[in-house]
Amino acid sequence: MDVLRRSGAVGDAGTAAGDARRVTGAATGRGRTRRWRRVAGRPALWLSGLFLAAVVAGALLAPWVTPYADEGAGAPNIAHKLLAPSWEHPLGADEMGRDMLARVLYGARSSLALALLVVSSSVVVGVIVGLAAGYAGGWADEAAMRTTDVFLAFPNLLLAILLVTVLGGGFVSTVLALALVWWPIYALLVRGQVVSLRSQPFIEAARATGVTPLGIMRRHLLPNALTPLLVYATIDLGAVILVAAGLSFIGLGPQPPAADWGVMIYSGRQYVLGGSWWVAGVPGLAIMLTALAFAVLGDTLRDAGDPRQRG
Amino acid sequence: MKSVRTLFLALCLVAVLSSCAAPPPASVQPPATPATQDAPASSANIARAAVEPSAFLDLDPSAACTAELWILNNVYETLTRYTPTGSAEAIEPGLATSWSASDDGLTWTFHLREGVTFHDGAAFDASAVKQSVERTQRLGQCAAYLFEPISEIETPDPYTVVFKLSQPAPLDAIMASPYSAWITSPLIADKDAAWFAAGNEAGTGPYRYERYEPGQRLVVQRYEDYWGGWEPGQFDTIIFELLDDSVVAEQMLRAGQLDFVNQLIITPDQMAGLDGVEGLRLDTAPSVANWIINLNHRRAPTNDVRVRQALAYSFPYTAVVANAVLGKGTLAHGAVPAGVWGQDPEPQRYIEDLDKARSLLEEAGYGDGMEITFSYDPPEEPTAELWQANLAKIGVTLNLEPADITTRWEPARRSPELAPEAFMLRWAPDIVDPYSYLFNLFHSEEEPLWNMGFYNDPAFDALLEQARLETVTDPAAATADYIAAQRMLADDAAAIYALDVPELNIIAGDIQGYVTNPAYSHMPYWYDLRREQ
Repeated sequence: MDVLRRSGAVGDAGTAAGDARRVTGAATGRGRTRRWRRVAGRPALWLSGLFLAAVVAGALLAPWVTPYADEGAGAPNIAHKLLAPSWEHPLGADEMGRDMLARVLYGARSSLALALLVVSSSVVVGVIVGLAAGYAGGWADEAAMRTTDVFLAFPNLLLAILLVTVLGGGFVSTVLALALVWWPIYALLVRGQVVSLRSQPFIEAARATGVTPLGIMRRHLLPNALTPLLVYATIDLGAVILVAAGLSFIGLGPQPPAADWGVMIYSGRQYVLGGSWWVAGVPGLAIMLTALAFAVLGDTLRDAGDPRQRG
Repeated sequence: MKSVRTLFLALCLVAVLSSCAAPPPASVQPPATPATQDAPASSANIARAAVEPSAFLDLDPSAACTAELWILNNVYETLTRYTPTGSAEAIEPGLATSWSASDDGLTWTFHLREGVTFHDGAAFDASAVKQSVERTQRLGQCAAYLFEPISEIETPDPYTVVFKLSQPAPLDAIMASPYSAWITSPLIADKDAAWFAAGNEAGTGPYRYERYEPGQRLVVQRYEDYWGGWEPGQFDTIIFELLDDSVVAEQMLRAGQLDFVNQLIITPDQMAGLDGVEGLRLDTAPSVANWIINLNHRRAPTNDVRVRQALAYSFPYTAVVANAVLGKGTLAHGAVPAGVWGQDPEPQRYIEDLDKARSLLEEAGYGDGMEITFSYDPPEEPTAELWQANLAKIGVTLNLEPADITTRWEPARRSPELAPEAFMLRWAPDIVDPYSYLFNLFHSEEEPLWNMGFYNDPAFDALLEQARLETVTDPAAATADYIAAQRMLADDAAAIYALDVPELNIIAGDIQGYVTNPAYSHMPYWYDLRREQ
């Protein structure tokens, strides 16, 4: 009797897992390949990918790819003040005479590093909280969700301004503040996936066969939440860059001479009406294109991961 | 969900981009205000000037010490007035028609103008002057120290005031100061800052408050009973737009919505771009203003004279002169700028010399580097960054703390321990006299007003006092003493003298009659101006 029930349960678990694969489509190799093939031909994807690759490479190799590395790092060259774009300075020079291309590349270093740190730490925290809350249910779930509600009740820029002001400006506190603002959305996302799967037969089966809660989370719940997480994280890389630029625009970012896109727009805006549009325009474009590229990439990932989407 | 996030992203992009070239927010565009509507059809007699910042510290004329004065100069009057540079007499009549001093400089008699009334209806007479000066002395704010020598005020008849001084002082010049010397109505003797901040005034000047919208604008209208009378063509209404944002001010100028903006509101670099714009012109003239960076004497590391000397040797004087104020500034000789008597004729001894700076720092034990904080007004960012780059070469990290003077001044002067090591003031004097610079910025005080370096040297104080007493009786000796005092400051590296700045204004091309008066820097006297028809 005892043995029979167990074997039946094992059989159930097998079919349930198959169901889950059909539902999420995240794990079947053939479906994934087909859907990738569907999105792979999109020019927007290639443009975004190439642009981001160029930005990342330029940021990583900034000291070597530009002849104006010291200016990128902040050394003024006042004789070149506000030079218009030319062969020597393809993106012009800023109000301190620094090469704009070098400045933008150095700015990319901090922008990308910050976005990666914020998003990855938000994902880690969000996943832990979401898995725990969704799996445990009850008062723990309730407490975790009401906490995320509190965070989500405020516009994230507003909350970030508050936190950075309390923590004091600078790179580390900006990362901390933005991560604090960003994790709840991931917690919510993961928790939603977990709750919808928690009562699926294959989970119950796994539990019944003696798989530990951690094992269930790792092997059954997390893989199913991976695709939406990846999509969100990719789009959020762009969103974090935008909000971080907003913070430094209002004076809460790194201080000069460190290159920062938001600070560059702020200090450059007084020269725009006089005709030197590149001082604020170049970092503005850098922010726009980077955020746009991440958004396109995220959307493509989403389409590739969504079996219901018909290209 | 996708569309929501895309929308959010799109909105953020729009926000970022629009920050580059946004139209002025609705709140600062010229509104269809009652003033505009009530005015005669011709807009010729309305003028708009920009004033910074939007938050006034104090509109009480006995206490006002910053940009409020750009407005008050049109609403209140002083007994005497400084004349523009090059005039035959240095001082001309204001509310007093004539004056004389005793030989010892201890008794000053002023004969007052008759037929003058205050805006609140009170009559202007000797007792009003007495009450006004006593009120300023009682409040003891801003430049009230100028009136300390006055021990007794007598009013032998309604239009004669006799000031008895405890020490000789150039009272004719003091009475012309745009700081604290304004004559106020006797009816407001007991009013406090809140009463003035509510949009009340009590002056005799050609304009009276019409409307005050805090944070937005202050509108003044001609005072019909003004003793000077009115001629056709003079402005009926002046709208002072309170602006903190230089880009908004520039947009308003380009749109023809402002007639007068000075270099403290928009930056000289912006002015360079506006000079060729149709309907606007750049007006430049020598001034007696300068930029002084006080160094904190009360805390390490700047309490060490070698560190201060190193900082003075690290400042990029020539680059700052070339870059700031359109290259129209000049190298400073010391705390007293060119155009003021008593200036040290020798150029200052500190020049940019990083090797010397480095060895001084090593001597002082900071060879491995140090960190100091620099407080300045946001438009002076390029100057701060130039200095920062020099300091970086000798291992000094300069933390930048830009903020408007109204925000950074109060906390810094209250607490020497928390005050930054370097504090830059864009100084315009209360009286055109070396004493204004040397006393305000370096005289030892329990709680400093403008001595932001907390400089304290009894020998310097004594020399300053001696020079002040000699000003009326022995000008040559006073000059020698003031020069000696400036050299004492140089020995001590008490401050860094960044540069002497000219006055720069962007003025609408059809505004006529503006003559720069260094004593009233950035304070156009709108009664004298006309709009070309």
